[in-house]
Amino acid sequence: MSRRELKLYPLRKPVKGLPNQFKSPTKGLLSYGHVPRLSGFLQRTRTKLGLDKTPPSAYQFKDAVKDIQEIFKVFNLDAKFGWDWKKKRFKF
Amino acid sequence: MAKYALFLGCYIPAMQPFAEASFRKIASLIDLDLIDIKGATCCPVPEITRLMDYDSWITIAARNLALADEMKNDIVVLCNGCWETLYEAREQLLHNEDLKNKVNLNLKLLGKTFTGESEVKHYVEVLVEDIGLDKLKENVKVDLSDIKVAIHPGCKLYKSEGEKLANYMFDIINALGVKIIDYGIERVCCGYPLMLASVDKAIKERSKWKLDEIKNAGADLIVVACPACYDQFEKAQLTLKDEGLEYNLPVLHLSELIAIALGFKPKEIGIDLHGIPCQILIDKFER
Repeated sequence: MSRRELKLYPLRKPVKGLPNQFKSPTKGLLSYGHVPRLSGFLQRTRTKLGLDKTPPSAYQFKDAVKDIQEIFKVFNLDAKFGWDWKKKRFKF
Repeated sequence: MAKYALFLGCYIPAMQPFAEASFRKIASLIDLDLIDIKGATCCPVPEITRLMDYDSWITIAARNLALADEMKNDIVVLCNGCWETLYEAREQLLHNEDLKNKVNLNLKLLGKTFTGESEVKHYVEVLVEDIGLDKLKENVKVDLSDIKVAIHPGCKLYKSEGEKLANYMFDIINALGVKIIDYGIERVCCGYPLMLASVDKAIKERSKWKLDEIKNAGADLIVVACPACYDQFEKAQLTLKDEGLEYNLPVLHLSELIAIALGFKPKEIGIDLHGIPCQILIDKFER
């Protein structure tokens, strides 16, 4: 349901949101630009293997995460799936 | 020297860095120049984002493709899922002008444009078509002919034109001189996408079936070209071990097997970090 529809029909039941299995990967995408979080252990492991501590992707370049968030807003997916930007989790 | 924009994806850099380390080491030996795509995000994952919302899936994929377009280099991908998303998104955008315009309108907000100049290639394709099997053979330094491997190319490589990417995987392993075991159900999925619907079904009805056949065929280890398949085969073995079923079948990325054949030590590329110990290869170097 779009923001406009929510204003027009405030008592209408909101969309159920994402299936549970999709929530964690989507949360990752909105938070890091990638599905998994890059843990401290993996950062140390990467260094031991001679790789950059943080990969040169959205893990390192935070503007890329903002791009993903912008794309979600363009398609109104935050409202559709109940993403809470302040609490950084799904409302339902 | 062949030059490529390297698309790492999510699983490899954040969970299986040994696959990245081995591919970078191979590249340094075979004149493959890899340039990182700075600011690349998740491809995004086809089994989730495409089902969740097609428009966001193709726009995020187009953003990643646009980054490579700016670099004016073809893309090399280390993951089957990333290959599927980026390859399919590019094809759809190149064959549908309306869709391309619509996506570019949204990308404009991010200061990016998809042109489609950069081709998307899986690393098996780059190794066979651009580097050549002869060059790989020339660089083989370790005799691995006593090791028997079961190959699992993964569903997506079988989706390539004429199944060429799956065949390339067999060609590469043959070129390394490793013995390939025929276990009969190479084409069957590892079960990873089924995990989204039922973990139990995925592990007990799909992964277990494959593991049983691979074990019965007498393979020493499983070779995969995809981090999701790697994860699934390890996860399934660790889960089934709790139920008393022990397979002890190490899972290896193709890039790791190549790196070892080209002379890199298992510990140098992080093989000792696997969930299922790859003792057969570690022992070979410590003998």
